[in-house]
Amino acid sequence: MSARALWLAFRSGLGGRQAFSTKVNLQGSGRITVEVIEHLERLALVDFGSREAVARLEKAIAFADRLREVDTDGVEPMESVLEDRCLYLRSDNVAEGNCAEELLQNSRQVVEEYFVAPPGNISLPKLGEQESFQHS
Amino acid sequence: MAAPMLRRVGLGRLWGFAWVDGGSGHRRGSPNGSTSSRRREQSSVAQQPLHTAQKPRKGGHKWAAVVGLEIHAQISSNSKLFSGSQVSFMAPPNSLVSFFDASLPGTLPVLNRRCVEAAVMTGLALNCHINKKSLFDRKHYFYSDLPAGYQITQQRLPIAANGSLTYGVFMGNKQSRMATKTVRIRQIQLEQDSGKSLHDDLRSQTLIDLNRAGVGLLEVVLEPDLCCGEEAAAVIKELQLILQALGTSQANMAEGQLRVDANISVHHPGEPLGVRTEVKNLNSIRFLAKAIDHEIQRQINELESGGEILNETRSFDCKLGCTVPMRDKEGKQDYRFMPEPNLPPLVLYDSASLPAGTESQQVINIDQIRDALPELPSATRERLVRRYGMLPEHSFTLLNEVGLLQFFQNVMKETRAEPKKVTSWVLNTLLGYLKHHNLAVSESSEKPHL
Repeated sequence: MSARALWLAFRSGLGGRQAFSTKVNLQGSGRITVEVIEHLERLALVDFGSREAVARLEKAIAFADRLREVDTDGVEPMESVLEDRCLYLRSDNVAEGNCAEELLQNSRQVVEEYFVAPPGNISLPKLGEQESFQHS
Repeated sequence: MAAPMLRRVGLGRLWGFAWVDGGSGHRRGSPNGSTSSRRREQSSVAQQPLHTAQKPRKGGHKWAAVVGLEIHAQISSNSKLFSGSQVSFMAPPNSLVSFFDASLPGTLPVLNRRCVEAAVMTGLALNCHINKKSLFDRKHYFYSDLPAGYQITQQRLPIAANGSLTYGVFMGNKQSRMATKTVRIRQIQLEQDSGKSLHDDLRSQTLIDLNRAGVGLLEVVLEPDLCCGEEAAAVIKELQLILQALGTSQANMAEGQLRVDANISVHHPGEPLGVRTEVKNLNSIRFLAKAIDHEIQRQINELESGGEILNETRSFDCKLGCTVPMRDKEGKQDYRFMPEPNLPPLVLYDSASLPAGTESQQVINIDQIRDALPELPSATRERLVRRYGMLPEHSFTLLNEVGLLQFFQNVMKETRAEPKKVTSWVLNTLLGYLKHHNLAVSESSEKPHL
């Protein structure tokens, strides 16, 4: 059995200490399907414009997959690499703010001290209609 | 667990539903296919015959509604959850915004101690288990009022879980008897608020004010133990009183300090739960009750006429008095939760586990907070009943009206009259007068001196 299959069996045997689940499910062969790309493009607003970009993504995932070859039998997963540090608590004093002018300079368009944004979310073109995604 | 039966509340039509006490522990399932025995008065014959279902239904003809509430309460603090900018309701746009709130690169979150204390106090007051270790996560979605593209929240391991809230519901029409019910609390978590969007449809643009972005919120998630708008209203009222007594939130719905979303579904008792819809934009307790009852009715009507319920988000239109689908919601969202990489776990202590020699400003002692909790509304009411011999219903009324309790106590201090007489005068004469003239206690010219 491949290391990856062993690892997957180990995970399912653990009985689900899976903290997060995303909807992105990779095929066993490591190919990324069109549906996955579509889903990622909508969620992360990145543009996998070409077949090469997708191939690069697959290679990156294969590279990271080598982590699964490590035997983690009986090892408790970490919560985060910071888990031994102390979380600093700040006292409830007002120490920041009052820099509207500076912040508004970052905005292309401003109306009376408000940032201007497009109305709501601009929906991406659907699968069939999409030729190339125009970057504004 | 039995699903509570639907009770028709105050919509003034002739429905034949029997009101069954929600506490009954058994389920009733009708035999399958018993159309002949389906009683006519169980369906809405009163208005349109359209509502009569055409096809036979198994599982009986009674509908039960299931309501789950998600409450967001703005924490009453001087500064925001992860930054030092001020928390204030009215201020020039974008004047209370720090570089972190505006999500400028290179900024990092720094946790506000007061917000953690507020969360612990609220968790203790709601009988929750306080997690000595809790974690922060990022919830990703795109919207113009969320500059970072994610909200820092506590999805994996919140600060408090598994609590309960006991509340009172008036029984019958005369509001003369009260029953106590309990709703379970799934969890309480700390999270950031987003900024405010002002939609300018004329110029097809949205104006963004980030003053509210980053303000600390307590999200209280309730188990779907409620069955109608009246119960939901009573729960929210009690929660408001508790938060106000603790001082953790001013919980004013009109000012947006308390926001409630309701998840509503209907089903036949004994059958699996139905598809649920989420109703948002509820900014008063009255609209909350109305919206929930209307949505329950809408779902029943829809299902009885052979339609189906979509898992969607709806908004309550107070002018139309009904729920309408919200635009701008694209199906199910994938929030791509991930641990917040910039924040270590939040560790709380109690007197037993307090490490020696640590700076007191940097540690939070749950036992210390518990000892310092102010008197909760339920305790206040018990005290009033014990001390003045009033009925529980009266104690509820005294607390529900802003300022009335204080007034009552001032009168009791000055007078030598019998408590029962004072109670009666305050609740009947004074309150009646105020209601008639639409005044708040603070606005009335009556002084406690008799």
